[in-house]
Amino acid sequence: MTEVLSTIEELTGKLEKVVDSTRVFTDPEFLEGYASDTSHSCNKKPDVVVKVLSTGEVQKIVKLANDYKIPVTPRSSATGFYGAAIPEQGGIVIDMSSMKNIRRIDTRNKWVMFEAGVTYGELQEELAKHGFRAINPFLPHKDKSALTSTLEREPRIVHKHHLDETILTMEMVMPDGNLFHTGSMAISPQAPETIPDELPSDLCNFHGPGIDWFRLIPGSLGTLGIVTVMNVKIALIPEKQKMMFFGFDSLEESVEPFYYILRKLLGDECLLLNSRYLATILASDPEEIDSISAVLPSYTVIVNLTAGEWFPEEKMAYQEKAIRDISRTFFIKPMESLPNVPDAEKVLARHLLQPWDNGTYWKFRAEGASREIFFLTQLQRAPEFLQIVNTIAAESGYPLSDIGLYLQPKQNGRSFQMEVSFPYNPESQDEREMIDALYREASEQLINKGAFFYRIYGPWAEMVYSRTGNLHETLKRIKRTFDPNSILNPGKLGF
Amino acid sequence: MALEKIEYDASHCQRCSTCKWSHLWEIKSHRFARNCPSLVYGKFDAYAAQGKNDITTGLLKGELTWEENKDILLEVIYRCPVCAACDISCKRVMDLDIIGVLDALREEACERGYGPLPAHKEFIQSIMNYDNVWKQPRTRRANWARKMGIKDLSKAGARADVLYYVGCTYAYKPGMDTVPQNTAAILKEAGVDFGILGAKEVCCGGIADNIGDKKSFEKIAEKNLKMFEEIGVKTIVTNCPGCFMTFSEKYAKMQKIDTTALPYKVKHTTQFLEELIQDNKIKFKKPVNMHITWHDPCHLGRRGEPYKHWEGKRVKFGLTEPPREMNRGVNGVYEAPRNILKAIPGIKLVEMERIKDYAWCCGSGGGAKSAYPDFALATAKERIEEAEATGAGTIITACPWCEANLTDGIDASGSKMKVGDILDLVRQAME
Amino acid sequence: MAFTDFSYSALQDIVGDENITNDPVLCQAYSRVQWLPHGVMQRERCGLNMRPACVVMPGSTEEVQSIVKVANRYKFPFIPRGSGFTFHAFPTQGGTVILDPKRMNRIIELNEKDMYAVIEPYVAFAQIFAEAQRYGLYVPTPLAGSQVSCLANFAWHGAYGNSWITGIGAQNLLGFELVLPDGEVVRSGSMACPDAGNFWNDGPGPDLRGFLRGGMFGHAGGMGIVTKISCKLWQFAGPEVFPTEGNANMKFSSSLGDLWRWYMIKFPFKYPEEEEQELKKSAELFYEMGKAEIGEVATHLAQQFLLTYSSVTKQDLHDNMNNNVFPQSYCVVALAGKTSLEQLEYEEKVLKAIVKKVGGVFVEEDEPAYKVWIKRAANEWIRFGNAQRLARPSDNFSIGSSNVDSIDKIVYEILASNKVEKDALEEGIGKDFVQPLSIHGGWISPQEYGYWCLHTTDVFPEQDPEQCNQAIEIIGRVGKSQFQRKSAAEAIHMLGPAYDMFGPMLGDVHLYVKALKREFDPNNISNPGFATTPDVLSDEEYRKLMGGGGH
Repeated sequence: MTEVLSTIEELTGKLEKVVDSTRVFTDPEFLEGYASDTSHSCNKKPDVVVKVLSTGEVQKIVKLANDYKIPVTPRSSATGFYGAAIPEQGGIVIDMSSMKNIRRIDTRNKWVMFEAGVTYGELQEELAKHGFRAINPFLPHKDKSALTSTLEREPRIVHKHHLDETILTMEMVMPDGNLFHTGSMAISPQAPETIPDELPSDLCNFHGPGIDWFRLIPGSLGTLGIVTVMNVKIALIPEKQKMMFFGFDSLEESVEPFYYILRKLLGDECLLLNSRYLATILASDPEEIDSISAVLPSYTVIVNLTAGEWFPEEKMAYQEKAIRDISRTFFIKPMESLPNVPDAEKVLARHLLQPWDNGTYWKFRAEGASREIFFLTQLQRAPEFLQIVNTIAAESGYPLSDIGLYLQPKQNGRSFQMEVSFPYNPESQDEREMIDALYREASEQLINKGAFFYRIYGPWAEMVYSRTGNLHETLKRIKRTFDPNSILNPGKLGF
Repeated sequence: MALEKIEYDASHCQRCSTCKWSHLWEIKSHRFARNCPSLVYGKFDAYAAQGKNDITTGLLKGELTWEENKDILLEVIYRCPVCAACDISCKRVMDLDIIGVLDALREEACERGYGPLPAHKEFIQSIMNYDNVWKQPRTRRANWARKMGIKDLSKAGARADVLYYVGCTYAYKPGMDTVPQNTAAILKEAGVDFGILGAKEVCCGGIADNIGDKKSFEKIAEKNLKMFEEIGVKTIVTNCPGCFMTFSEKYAKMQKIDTTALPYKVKHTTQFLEELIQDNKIKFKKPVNMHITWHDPCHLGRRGEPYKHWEGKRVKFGLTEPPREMNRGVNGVYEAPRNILKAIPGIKLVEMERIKDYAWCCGSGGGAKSAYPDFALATAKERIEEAEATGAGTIITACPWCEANLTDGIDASGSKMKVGDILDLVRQAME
Repeated sequence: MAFTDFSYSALQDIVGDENITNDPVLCQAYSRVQWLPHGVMQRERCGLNMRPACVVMPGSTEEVQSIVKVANRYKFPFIPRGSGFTFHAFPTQGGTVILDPKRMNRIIELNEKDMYAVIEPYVAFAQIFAEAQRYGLYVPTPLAGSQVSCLANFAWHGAYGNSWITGIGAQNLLGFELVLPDGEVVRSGSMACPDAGNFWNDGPGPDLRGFLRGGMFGHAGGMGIVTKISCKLWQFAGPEVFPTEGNANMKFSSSLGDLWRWYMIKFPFKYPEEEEQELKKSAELFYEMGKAEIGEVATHLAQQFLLTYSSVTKQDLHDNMNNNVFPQSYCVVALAGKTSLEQLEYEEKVLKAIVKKVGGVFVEEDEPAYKVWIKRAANEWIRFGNAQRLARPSDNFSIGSSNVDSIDKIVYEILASNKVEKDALEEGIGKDFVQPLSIHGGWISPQEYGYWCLHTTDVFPEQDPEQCNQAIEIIGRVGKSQFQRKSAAEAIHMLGPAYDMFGPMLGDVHLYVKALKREFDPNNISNPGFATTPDVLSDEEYRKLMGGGGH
């Protein structure tokens, strides 16, 4: 294509042939809403935003963009945290947040198919009618797209092996505008648009076609293709559940018991929170955070025991006995509630399945904003990394008592996502600068010591890829192969 | 030619590599997981049974020729102790006569005049000239028995219930004469009516068969069989697993009969002693305070099964007509030595990782020691390392070839382990 | 260019004289693999071109890298391999070099706490199983047997006895180190980051496992050489040493201790007339077990699996078949007390209730089927020790059909595939195979608590080219029928020529994969016979590439 689009008007003119003109936006004020997110990590307005309603529309826009080499950034959530959907090089933002259909729930094969704009709140509400739940991350934002969250590989609160990777099949638009389906959807590509009662395939095979797209695409931040629809594994809502707590004075003390609980396969959900993070969740009013934090154990391991259809009492009984046995082994005391915080177990139980629904997003409750550093590690190394964070925070003058800590096991405890959060006042320029420096310094040092930054946002790309040999070059070669014009979300992942 | 007999077996190799590993349920560590000395030393697949199957098929199809590849073929064929670890592994899953393939390769090498190797020819020549493999005068064969007052059954009119057959190595090898002496003393004390063949004892000939020289083997075997017949032997007891297997399996096979149809019974000393212990004819009076491990000689263990003769053909699906009962290493002599060791007070027996049907070979058999001493030594050293890993101080066995090669392995590796014969322990406990 | 004296000498410099050969006798041992019809036909077509020009044994990643760079300089094809069990590990054209990984046989790390191991290509499953077992862990073992390369199996293709919890190879691979076809080295997962450890599979950024593997298969050696992987280990409720009794082929393993229980379940239907009902009931059992999330093993075994794995000789197998020792197919379930004995007992109670609900019956201990399966071979499904028995009926074996989808659809697929196979038989195709073993039933292997499922049906031709061609014909007919009913999930597991056949029907996936091939293997030398080709080829060009015949 030799033709060049020289004005925004020419572009919108073309776009309006693809979608209704009411869904093509160029108003600067409107575009401002797409220029940054809660990470405040970068600020760049798109030239145009298109709100799409179907994969077909996405396909046409990408084709157009590819023809004219215009950057395209997909966005599914109404809010972002890590700058992933900020159009670093301008161009078109394809806003899929209006693609709200939950297309099908297969209760027999335990999956749900939904579009890019569906949030966890919407998904859970619909699934609950059938006795099912989505495998969600811990307390996601209410506006977070479930599809984006899945593609970004946010750690799921259920740590079981078989729910570690939940994607079954996907519909996606490739950088050349080609419509592409992964897994068994590839053989029944008519399925996502119009789903008959009896599909030739039950869309349970996630592998292929050819290579394993269900793995290559997640984590690519929309740089290799735009996923518009997916079906993912879901789980039955348990008939009974009981939350158990273990309090620890230090992170080191929690390591062995926590490993053991996971080795014994106890708890659908297991997580560790420090007092600050836990208080942030439990406080009914942000003002209470400090006081609640003060009465909580420094570190709390939360284990949610569940039981389903068959003999739930007996299942609970063996799990509780196992918990008691572990307690005796490690001289720790299991608690059924948190001392000094009435009904904490009930609040948490509700939060396990739902997005945050109590006003300001929980991570921002304390100070109005927060910056998080998260990475994967082995549990045994978590105290070492916490020490690094604390040292740098102390050097930066950041109060250690404000730092939130969350450890989420994955794959039955093979790995843990460790998240530390630094709440700050976004209105204060000084604090912003201090946090930014702290964030960079801590990230660098953690990476140097072997913290595994697996989800690569913003400056992490450079930090990580400069240390991983030929990996970045390999990824860039893959990117070039699929997207020779580099139109999809350029700038991300160092592409 | 010999290879044609095993064409089906070689060409139906599945290439699954089961032949290359110890019993897959029995592997207990990464370190001691492999079973084929030839492959471990040679590394390339050609040295494994799988490779030898492919090479055999290549020879049969004319893809390889003996003429062009003589040297490497001989190395692949003969740098192998024919320990049958591959054969027994394979036969768990398939019904291919792998040991038959290895034998046939050697036989054909000899038929074509390329085999056996010079070192082997010395053995054969020695047997032909001296009736033993060690080029020693016949007259010294029974030197070990001097002054022991043992019946010589080769003498006219001498009769005994049991022929104690000593074998060339125990008879001649310096330092090994304690084994036959102890054996004789034990048999006497147990009240067994036995005799020896004295200076008339002739090599069993097993080595000739092992290296593929079937003609020489037949000559030696016929000589022995004739002697056994003449003196009316009913039971042969021998310390040497090579002789044991030869009299039991090879002589039956040569005559195309089952082992059970032989006019005599063959027992390894450990089997015979086990019975004597059970019958309370041997009593242990003295504890032998030793921490030991037991090495299964291949010819006693997986190759020590009675032979079942079969003549027939492969039919549909590779079934055999009539149905063939193959030796698969199930009924080797594994328990007798262990039961003896358990019966001796004070002995602490710790098993190595690879034992019984999946034992690692010492590396000496099949003419490997004489033709490829470095290979034999490397194989022995591997066994010594395995023995050392048990924590035992002594490796006990019941085979002169194993004992000699393991001793060489210890010398070469500087190990502090010792090697001993089970008979010596029995004797110690009885005194 | 081809493999020349210059090439040989360059390789010799890398690995040393003792680790390289071009001797025809030594290379002959890398020239045949005939237990699969494809291998038989490959040998028929390629003849001695299937013998590599050279076999080289690298001892390190650096040596692999150097070898690959030499291959690019002189443009000779190379084939990476593990234990060399499948036909993809063999040349289709002259002048090919095989990389035999025997010197790369280390277990680099075994991490008990975080449940993973880091291994090189020549570590067999049995080795890693044995080492893991000491720490109360284990690794799933494939139906190919515990003697095969764990790395090759996880990195490329594998299905396991306990897939009910562990999934297939794709689910067991964590990080990897790959020498790309152009000689560059790339590491994936946490292995990529210095000092991060080897515990994790995806990232940083996109998960390169998606690039390395695909469907059930990867690139068949067409995307370079994997030199190291980290893989999952799993909690093991069995003992520290694998329990056995007996010797050699009469060695059996019937118990895995107090925290492990095996069950055989049957459904009261006439076999084979009511096979459909039996399969559907089996599906119900698995769906219910999946909902309850119980069990360590859950699988449906057709007669051919039961007969082959449990029979101690070929004659025994045929006798058992003729005596109808397994008069039908069975579901086999294992429960493991990984939490406690109480958990095991709870699961047993649930299993009993489920079996009752779905109308199944537990096979009693005194029934022949129980005696032959549970007492002889059930533990085989945990640590495959006698895997090649699967080929024993006729000394050759072929998957007749396979598919991946929901359990329901898999049942449907088995019935449909069996019908294709029966129809073919009526035309005389397969009449000389072991019958009726080759037309009934299938292996249903529900994965990861039944969220997905795979199946195979099997045929048993002899190693006779005509019969092997018939087996390949049957595979083709089944595949075609799957496409006709739009259920050919199998088709998305593509290799070589299949990319060109099916790609246009699957979103032009072949063009993307070919673009990757061109990018990373510009000289097209990484197992060119079996990887996808850089360009779309005509049938004739394929035939040439594959040694002259059809594929």
